[in-house]
Amino acid sequence: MDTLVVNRLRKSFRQGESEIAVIRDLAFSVTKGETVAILGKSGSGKSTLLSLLAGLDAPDAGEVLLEGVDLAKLPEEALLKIRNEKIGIVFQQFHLFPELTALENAAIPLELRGDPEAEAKARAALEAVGLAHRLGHTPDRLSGGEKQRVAIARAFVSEPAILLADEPSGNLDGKTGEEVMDLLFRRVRERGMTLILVTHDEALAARCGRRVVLDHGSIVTS
Amino acid sequence: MIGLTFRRVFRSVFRRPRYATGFLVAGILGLSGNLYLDSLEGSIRSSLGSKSRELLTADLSISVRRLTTAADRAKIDGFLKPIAEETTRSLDLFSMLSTKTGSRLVMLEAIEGNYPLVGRITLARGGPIERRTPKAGLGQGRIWIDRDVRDSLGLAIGGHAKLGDRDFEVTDVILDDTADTFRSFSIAPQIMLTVEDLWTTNLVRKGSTVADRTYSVLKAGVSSKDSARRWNAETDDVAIRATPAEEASEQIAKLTSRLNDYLGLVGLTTLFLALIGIAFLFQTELRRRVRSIGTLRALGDSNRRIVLEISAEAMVLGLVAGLASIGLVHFTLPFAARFVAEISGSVITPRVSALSALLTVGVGAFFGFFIAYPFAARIGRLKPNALFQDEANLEIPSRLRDELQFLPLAALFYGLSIYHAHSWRVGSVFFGLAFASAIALFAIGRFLFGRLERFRTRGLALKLALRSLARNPWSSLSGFVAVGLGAMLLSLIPDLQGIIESEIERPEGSTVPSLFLFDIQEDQFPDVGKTIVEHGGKFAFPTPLIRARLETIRGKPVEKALDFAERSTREQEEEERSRNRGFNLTYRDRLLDSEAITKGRSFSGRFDPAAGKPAEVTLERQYADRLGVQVGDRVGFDVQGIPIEAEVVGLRRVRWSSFQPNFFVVFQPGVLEDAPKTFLGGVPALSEAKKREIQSAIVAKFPNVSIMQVDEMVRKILKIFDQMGLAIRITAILSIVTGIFVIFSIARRQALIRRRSALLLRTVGAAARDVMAIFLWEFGILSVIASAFGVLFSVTIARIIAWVLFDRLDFGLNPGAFLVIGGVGAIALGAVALAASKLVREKPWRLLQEEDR
Repeated sequence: MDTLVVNRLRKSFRQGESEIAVIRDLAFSVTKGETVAILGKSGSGKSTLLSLLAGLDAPDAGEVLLEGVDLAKLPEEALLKIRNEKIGIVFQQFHLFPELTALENAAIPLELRGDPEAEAKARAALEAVGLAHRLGHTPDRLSGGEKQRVAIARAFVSEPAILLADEPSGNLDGKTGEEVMDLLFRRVRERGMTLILVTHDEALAARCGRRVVLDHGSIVTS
Repeated sequence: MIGLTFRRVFRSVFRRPRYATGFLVAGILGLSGNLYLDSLEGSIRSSLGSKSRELLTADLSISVRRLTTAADRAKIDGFLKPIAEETTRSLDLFSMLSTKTGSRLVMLEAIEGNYPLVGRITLARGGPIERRTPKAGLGQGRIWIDRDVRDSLGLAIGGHAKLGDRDFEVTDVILDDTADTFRSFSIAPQIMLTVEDLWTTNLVRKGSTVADRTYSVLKAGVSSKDSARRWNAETDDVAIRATPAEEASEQIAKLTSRLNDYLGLVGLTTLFLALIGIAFLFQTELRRRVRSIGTLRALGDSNRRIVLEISAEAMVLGLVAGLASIGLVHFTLPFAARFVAEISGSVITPRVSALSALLTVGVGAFFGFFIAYPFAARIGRLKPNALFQDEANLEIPSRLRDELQFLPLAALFYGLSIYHAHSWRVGSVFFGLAFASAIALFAIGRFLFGRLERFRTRGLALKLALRSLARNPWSSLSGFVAVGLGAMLLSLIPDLQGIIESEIERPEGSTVPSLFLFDIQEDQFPDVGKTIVEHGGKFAFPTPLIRARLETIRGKPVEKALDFAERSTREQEEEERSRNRGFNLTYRDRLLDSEAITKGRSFSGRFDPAAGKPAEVTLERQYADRLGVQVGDRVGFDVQGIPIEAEVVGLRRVRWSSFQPNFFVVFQPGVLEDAPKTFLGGVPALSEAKKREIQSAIVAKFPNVSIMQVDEMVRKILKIFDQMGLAIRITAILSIVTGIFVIFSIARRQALIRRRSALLLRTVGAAARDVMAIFLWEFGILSVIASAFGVLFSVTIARIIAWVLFDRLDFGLNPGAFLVIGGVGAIALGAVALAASKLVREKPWRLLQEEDR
């Protein structure tokens, strides 16, 4: 069964007088539990594609079907719910709330949906990424690798249908990056989760089940 | 290289029109208030200065607040003869003028035929009267009356009125007198008569308070200032003072400059608020520019030059704000001058002085630079790679050394406080209170925000808002202190105004008299009391009044007056007044209920000449302070020729607004009983009819006794206050507008700092309204708590001031205080909603886009 289906997806941006097509008639699908690496040079449209898949931005045309629901056609309220419950995102820059502790950062998605067990689940998620001893630490007291582990815990805590990761090891040194990616893939495997990973790193891409290479907004290899 | 720097500074200013406009608006708001006040005061001074001879009616006046003796006159004549071209004399005293319909307190001005030596009096019928104009309508039982007397007593030309023992015919009405500027502020309107006629009224008696003045026009080449200085240095009797024309205009200008001093502090408040606003505006702008700064650093530009350039940009903007303020004030000053002319009856030529203009531009440039420099220096200290971070997420570390970089700002602000207050004491208190309040707000904010987290709530928006307040202490605290100070300053001005007005209108205590009687001769004293009682009144606090002069302090002669040119602060003026003027003192065995001993003790009883101890005196504490006298010191007085040494046994706090007969110096009984004296006293609260009855009876029986209607005086003071209040309100409005600007700039900065968190929340599924709710909670809590504390501080400070000034503790709360809390809260919420509205609408994918940067 396909978790994600992308159909004739188009997106362009205006730059002054001219319009630049960033995503051109893109189509692909990802089945449940599949891991897909999206590769491409800078400016190939990787991040734009990720924002469309996450429902963070609306396409000009085409469909993004997540578990059969077209994100492009959903009203804002429903989209928020999908984003909160079905999609997990891990950013290159971690994007943790600087004033919140690791535990609070991980609990945020559950708190947003009013889950009374948010804290307990967040604690479990952090324990699962090996941060049981860092629960009360704010991001400024965590190392880069620890920050990304918190971000992974936050992405997993709501048990999403799909995990989107944007260069998750891009801001980490080689060894730490490797450890964090091991963790990410292990967790994805354990949960049977669908993963879409945007990366420059060929070695990392090789760990995924499939590679999609983007060039000027089109798939050149899949 | 310098050319490049200049080019970059100006390019940077012009390419950021929104920031530059915000900076300029705040700068103009902050700078124009004080420039306005300075210019208006300068205009009044220069207008009066150009008329200083007309104001004094001469080049030089030698005056004393008693009747001169033959010996005094011989000395004065001897001094003036070689230097004066012409002299004339006038005697001024308060008196009652009565007609068939009523009576009122007037100021008698008894003149000689050649008065005024300079200037003119304009009469309704006789037209302009000058030095050589024959005073046909004056003398031999004929007087001129002020318009106010005509209107209040219905006294027309040809009508009759009684002064002392004699009837007079009114022959003309004084419409204008070039010597009597600000006549509308006078409590007792003017009556003119000849000196010869004054003697026939029998009003001038032993101990009467008369100002005896000898005016002179000096010969060509004789300096009035030098002559005055010479007289003041040579005379044995420091109570007889010479005043040059130049100083006369200064003394009159003081009437407005006192008000201006306090308005200056209100203006400074506006400047302070504007600086807070600019500081936040600048920080927001600086955060926006971190990447550009990082790029410059990466391209090899020196950190030092970048920091100086950024600070120089702010300096240029401050300078332009100063210039724009000068333009604004230059074009609008004529309207203010017309307004002052209308209420004071004095023509003012408006102009912005070069010094005020220079000061404004200098202050603008200085503040611009030193507000920017400490923040720019912190950014400059960051490593270049840190500068490539997102602006909102940039952690800018702060060290104690950074805070010290604000010291030049604090020093200039302190200097300006003293400059505008013309008093180191008032200036220091103002600055100290502002500084202490900032520290206290900081401490309170720190304490409160640290505990906010413990507050349990289920609402996620509130929970996140509380966490954000607690865990971003520097950003929360800077906003908290700024909003708190803004609210404090906004609330303080109307609160103080309210307290002062209510104090004057309704002083606490029940002993405020309806009538105040003075110039009662010793032999009249029992009968005056009896007459009051006969007409249903009570003669309260009958008090002897004895003219004296301070001669020695701790055995040393009191120093002579400071040179006219040396006086620049209120303290110097007050000290000089305390030392040099003759004054009235009294004796009594106990304290009035308007006074209390603050140091030392009250009298030990009646003076015992056999005990071999000096007489005991108590002094009003501020008066003692000005003289530098402590409890236990010996002070020597000249009581009408008799030297008396006394020991200061106590210092008293006096509530002057009690309208009771309060004195700077009070002797113990048994020392001054035989000295020549007059009496004064009051008649407690009476109905209007009873008051008129008693006044008529006293005036009829004792024509030399002067009566002041206290409520009429209060009305007059309140009228003046109302006119002053308008000026205060206009200046306060400037503060309020600036305060709104401050709150908006803080809200914008807070919104920018929270931008990334807001986008992140949207990414994980929070709705725009949730993010807005967090902003509103966070800033709402911050601003309401801060303004509540700001108002609490203002209420406390206003009450401390009221306690110091009026010895009155008032726990009543001005409803305006709640308005300030609500208003600041509402403005803050509105400002943050406006600032955050764009931000919460921002698409969350921006976060991913920023990943690509």
